[in-house]
Amino acid sequence: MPGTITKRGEMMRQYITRRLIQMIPILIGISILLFFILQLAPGDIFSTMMNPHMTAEMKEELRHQLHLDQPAYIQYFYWVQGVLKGDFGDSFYFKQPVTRVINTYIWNSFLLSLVSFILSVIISIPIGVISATRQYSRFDYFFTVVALIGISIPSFYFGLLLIKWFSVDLKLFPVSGMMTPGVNFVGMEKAADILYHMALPCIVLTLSSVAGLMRYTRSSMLEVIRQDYIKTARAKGLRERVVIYKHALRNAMIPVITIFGMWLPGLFSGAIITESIFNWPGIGPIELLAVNNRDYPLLMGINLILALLTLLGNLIADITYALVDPRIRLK
Amino acid sequence: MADDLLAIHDLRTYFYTEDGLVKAVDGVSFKIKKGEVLGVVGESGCGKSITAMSILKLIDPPGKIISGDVIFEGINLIELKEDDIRKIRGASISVIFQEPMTSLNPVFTIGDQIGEAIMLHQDLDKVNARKKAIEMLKTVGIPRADEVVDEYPHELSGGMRQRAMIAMAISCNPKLLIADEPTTALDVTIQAQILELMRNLKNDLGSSVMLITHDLGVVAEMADYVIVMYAGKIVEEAEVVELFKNAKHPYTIGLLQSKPVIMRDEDRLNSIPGQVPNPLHMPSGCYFHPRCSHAMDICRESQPELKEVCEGHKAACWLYEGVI
Repeated sequence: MPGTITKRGEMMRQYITRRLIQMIPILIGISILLFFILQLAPGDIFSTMMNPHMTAEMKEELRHQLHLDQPAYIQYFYWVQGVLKGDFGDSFYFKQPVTRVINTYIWNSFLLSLVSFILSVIISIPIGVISATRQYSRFDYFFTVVALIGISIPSFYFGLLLIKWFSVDLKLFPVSGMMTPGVNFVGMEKAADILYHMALPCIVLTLSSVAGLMRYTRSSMLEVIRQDYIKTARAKGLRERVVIYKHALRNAMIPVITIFGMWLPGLFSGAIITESIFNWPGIGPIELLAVNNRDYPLLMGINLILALLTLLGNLIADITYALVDPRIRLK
Repeated sequence: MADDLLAIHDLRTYFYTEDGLVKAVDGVSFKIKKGEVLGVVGESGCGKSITAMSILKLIDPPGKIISGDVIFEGINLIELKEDDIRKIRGASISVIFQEPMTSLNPVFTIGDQIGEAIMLHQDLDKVNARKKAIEMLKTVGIPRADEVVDEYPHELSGGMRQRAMIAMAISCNPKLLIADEPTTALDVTIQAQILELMRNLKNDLGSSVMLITHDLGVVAEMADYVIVMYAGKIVEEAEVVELFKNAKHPYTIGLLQSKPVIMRDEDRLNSIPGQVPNPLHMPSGCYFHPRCSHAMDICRESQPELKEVCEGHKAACWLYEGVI
């Protein structure tokens, strides 16, 4: 019915608008909490960055310039003032605008995480489905062990292991970085060079997320294939393939799809350990640097983006939930 | 015989559970004639549903059909390959399940689910399958059928869902309709409507019906011939009037006595003492003897066979040994 569809679309638009408006006070609350929690850590940028030529008076002067000698709530208002004008301030450490620093690194993280995310979904969902339909088979046991390894192995260890095997011993892949230094590839050659560098960190990230996602798919599927409507589908004379991949999978994916939305902030937050090990120029190591140096403007910038993405991710999860499950109505 | 649609001979379906062997269906034989309604009665867990599912080979592991023949229109279904029996499922033999709440897939519309079977077995395209689905919904008495076809199961009441299930089951003009407790999950007024509907459809289509139920009232109303099952075996069978008038097996008599009768002035409802035996530890001899008030020594020692006790009436009980 075209009438009901437009009505549903209209309801959806209202729902999304309302949720977006609700995000504003939530974000303000998050920014206040973040700012004051960060201020609780002792020291500031000048207690870690020791310049031997800097005198105590010069440090005081600089602290005054950056408002670091003021109480936290005053500093917060200075920060808000800037943000309202679209200015997130300059990073203390990089001495560049926060937005530029984030922009330089975040897309590298996104690229790595996105490729690994897509790979995880492509690999883990079929394995999860087959494990469920052949519960307790050799296939199932094999991937149960793989999942256990994937969940248990620390990424720094697995990463170093891969570097040892594939880079040092076999010399198949580069040890680190994102592009071959000293060469200026363009177009497809550049893409191929990045993919070549991406392979190992991508394997590390994919293994751990495949492990979880495949178990999640398996248990969801196991629950669904015992339902009465699966028996109904078989009694209709449908092929087993149709029963499993149409009738069962569609239901089993409802809880799985909703966690995809939750993954949104993860795509941008960077993998601190994996990126550090492979020297991938992502945002992960930058976050660590910002924390160690009490680089408040940069920390606020990164965390606020992640907070926004988390809220958006929840919204997307709710919307996909309503789209895939007709029993859910958005109110 | 020519007028037999389905003949089951010595069917055995066993479950190999972790705790041991369960003989869910243990040597069952019966026939369904064309246009006949066969009532299969028994307590929960007596093997009624497993018998029905065995006909279509819809037994999930750890269950397995061990032996027996299921001859449907001259073909032994047990010997058919998966691809061949699939062409029978939903087409010549279709099933109505007990729980209309959970037997329809929540994420597909009613029309999709009915149309699926139609497209599969009748070679119609999507548009025509949809038209046929609407037609079927009208046949089973669903009001606003052209809207309901686009609705999801959760938008319908229990009775309407069961009607939709029936529409799906009859959409390919089955020769045999297996109704597995079709009214158990419904309230009484809806039950009567659904039974009425099934009776009318059966007469219109000329199908045979295998009606599985524990409700003797439903059997009395619908069935031509009745089989009583206990612990995986048939203990008594007869035409419906004969069975109700002249029940022989103590279990059947017990079942009939535990049915409430409005006009009879009684304080308490009769019940059969004891419980259905644990399928892993079946009693020796006749499975029913621990609960039977007529139990004799021989009942504990050996199992009675299903024998004719009078014209067209069979029972498996030592009481009637040597009667004919």
